[in-house]
Amino acid sequence: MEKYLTLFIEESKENLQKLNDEILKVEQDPEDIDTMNEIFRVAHTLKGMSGTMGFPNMEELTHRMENILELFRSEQLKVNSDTVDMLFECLDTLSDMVDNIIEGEGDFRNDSLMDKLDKIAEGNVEKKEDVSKKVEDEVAATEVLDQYELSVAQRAKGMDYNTYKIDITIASSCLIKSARAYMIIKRLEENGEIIKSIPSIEEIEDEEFDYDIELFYVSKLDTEEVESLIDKISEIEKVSVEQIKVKDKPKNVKTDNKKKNKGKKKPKKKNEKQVSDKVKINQSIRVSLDKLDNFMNLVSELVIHRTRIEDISSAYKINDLNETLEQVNRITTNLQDLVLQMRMVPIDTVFNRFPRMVRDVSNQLGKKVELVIKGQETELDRTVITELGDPMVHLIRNAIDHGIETEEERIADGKDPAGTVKMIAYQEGNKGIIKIEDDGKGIDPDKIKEKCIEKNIDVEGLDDDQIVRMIFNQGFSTNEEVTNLSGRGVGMDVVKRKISNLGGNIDVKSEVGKGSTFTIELPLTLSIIKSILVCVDNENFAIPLEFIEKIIDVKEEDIKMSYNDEVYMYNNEAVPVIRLNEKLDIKEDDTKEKVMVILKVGQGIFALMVDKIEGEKEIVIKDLGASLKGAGYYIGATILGDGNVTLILDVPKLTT
Amino acid sequence: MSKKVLVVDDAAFMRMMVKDILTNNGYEVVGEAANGKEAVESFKQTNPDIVTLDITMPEMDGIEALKEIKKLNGDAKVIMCSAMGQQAMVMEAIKEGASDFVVKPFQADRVLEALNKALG
Repeated sequence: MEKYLTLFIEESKENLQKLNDEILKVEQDPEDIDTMNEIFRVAHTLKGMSGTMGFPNMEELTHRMENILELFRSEQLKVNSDTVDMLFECLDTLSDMVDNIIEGEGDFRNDSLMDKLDKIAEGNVEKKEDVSKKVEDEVAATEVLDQYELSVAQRAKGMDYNTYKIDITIASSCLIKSARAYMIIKRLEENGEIIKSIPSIEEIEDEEFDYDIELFYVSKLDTEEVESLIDKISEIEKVSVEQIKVKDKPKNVKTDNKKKNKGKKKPKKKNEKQVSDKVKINQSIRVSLDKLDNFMNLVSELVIHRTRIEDISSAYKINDLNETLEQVNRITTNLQDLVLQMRMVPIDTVFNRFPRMVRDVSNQLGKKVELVIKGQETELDRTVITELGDPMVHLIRNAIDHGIETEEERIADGKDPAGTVKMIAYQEGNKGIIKIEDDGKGIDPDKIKEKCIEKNIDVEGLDDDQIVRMIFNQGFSTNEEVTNLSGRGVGMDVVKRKISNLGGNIDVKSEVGKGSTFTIELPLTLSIIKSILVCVDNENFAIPLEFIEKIIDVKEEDIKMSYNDEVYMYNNEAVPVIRLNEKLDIKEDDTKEKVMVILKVGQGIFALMVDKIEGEKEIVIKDLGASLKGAGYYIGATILGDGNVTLILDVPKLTT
Repeated sequence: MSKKVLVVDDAAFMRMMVKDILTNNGYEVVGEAANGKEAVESFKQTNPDIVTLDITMPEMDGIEALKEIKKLNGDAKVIMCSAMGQQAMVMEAIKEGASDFVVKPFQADRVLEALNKALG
């Protein structure tokens, strides 16, 4: 059993997350039968899994939860925020149990919760009989077709059309099966209508299916005619055409129209999703993260040694070696790309916890908040994803707590009573961008200014945007009233530090009365980066290429004084100068010829002065280890081709 | 009576192969064409029962030729011959009314299956 435990834990977590999502959906639309069935199915899976693994308490709790779900399904219990709260309580307890199991302590009993569930269940038992009959009728038909599809079939029946279930297996030798499937569909549609297809038509066109297709088809043709229609097409291994009986329209014709429209879009999507999930499972295997990390490390080592051999080869000018080396070069590059891709995880794994959190937080604060999520399929390195959770929680909480106003305030301001928080992720070049937008009251620069003066922070000469950015300074919280959600002093500075530890950057734009937007920029991958090697006093340092805007040869005279600070004129703008040797406390080369590395960090431009440039190199970031972490201006070290160790500069830290 | 076939492919080798497969199995090859234009001309002259039509060809490609042939005779039976990876083209051909398609490299029984089914 032990060897299944990891898988069990992982799958339980997935299933719990799924339940979370789907229950939220049902709360929005209690009539969504598909989602309800899905919830039921997942809960059932969970029950079976925990029973098999020998966690009786977990099994029992899911069982009681199923009872409640059954009441929802048979419409004996209303889906409202109270009953949904109860379900969430179950999910939280279940996920606590899973955590406990991870700790090796097994599951635990929660009698009070189970009693509560029992009470709800019992309170509804008497009413059960009259409703169950109605349910029975519908189940038989809804097993295969949803409301909309059913209503099409019912209408068709009234006009002497037959409904068929057609199972087709395409020959495994078929090379363009999507085209083959498309042909079948086209032939059939010349003589009738396909009301449902598993997989969906879109998936078939994208070739996202195995060899089996299941179609529900309405046509005037008889069974034999349908068979011979398909038989005329080559490369088909097996066809079965089966006429299915459709019950007459249910009596409640009125609701039919409404359901038709609703059903038209939603359930179809559901099917697509289910099928595509299935396909994905078929085509992937689970690999433990350790192995993946190890693989990554090995590839990194390989890259290091490749660079070494390159150096040797160019030093000795061995032509034969050069040729092979080119091949090795190509292969290692491919390997690198591959392993980096393998480590990419969709950002959904961070985003998916927020619908639930937003619901809870906004309920707690009595605010109405709608969460909009876009681009959740954007992929980032696994390390980035795992570290991203906390800062995101903080930002979202802030947005709801400080940003979005209460309903009354919003109405008074002529805004939509419900606030909107948007989470948008997308890829831009080699960066991942995450935006968190709210349409709340925005950040008031005057308030920030007051606070800065109070805290003796110099804000002289800063414009509003720059003042708003002061919230990233240490120990900042503008909410006079400290709530238990946010505003405990550990604030945006922690968020900023966390993001810059990931090699990223955060910025804010805000407009009073309109809302704020936080923009997080992150590197897509962490471990292997392009960098420029710079030299100060014969010491090499690596600067990640993504920060570098331009490299310019300068002389000492080019540096001007403005007030008490050294500046360099770049694009007609005075840019603050940072002397790397002073920052790092090392000697300066005595040459007068210097190099200015223009750095762009978020919105800020800086001029970093170094002695000379050594060239561009692909480097592998190695952790500095716990004892050196956070010391100095370094994010890590790398081993160069010649075996020397070089430190990688922490640009965001250098420039603050 | 044996069925008349028009074989269209820009490679003489491919035409010969298809021709051999067909004649060995009781079809009569009434014409050959090396590009779409020739194919349309030959179709007019020979009036075949079925056409095997390559997709990628010079002068006029298979899709265009298919459209022309369908204009001449809406019931014309045309089997498209495609290479791997021409999925989109094959889809388009089916939309335009191709009866079936076979994928290169050809296997005799696949070609025959397609022809038999289309004619049957």
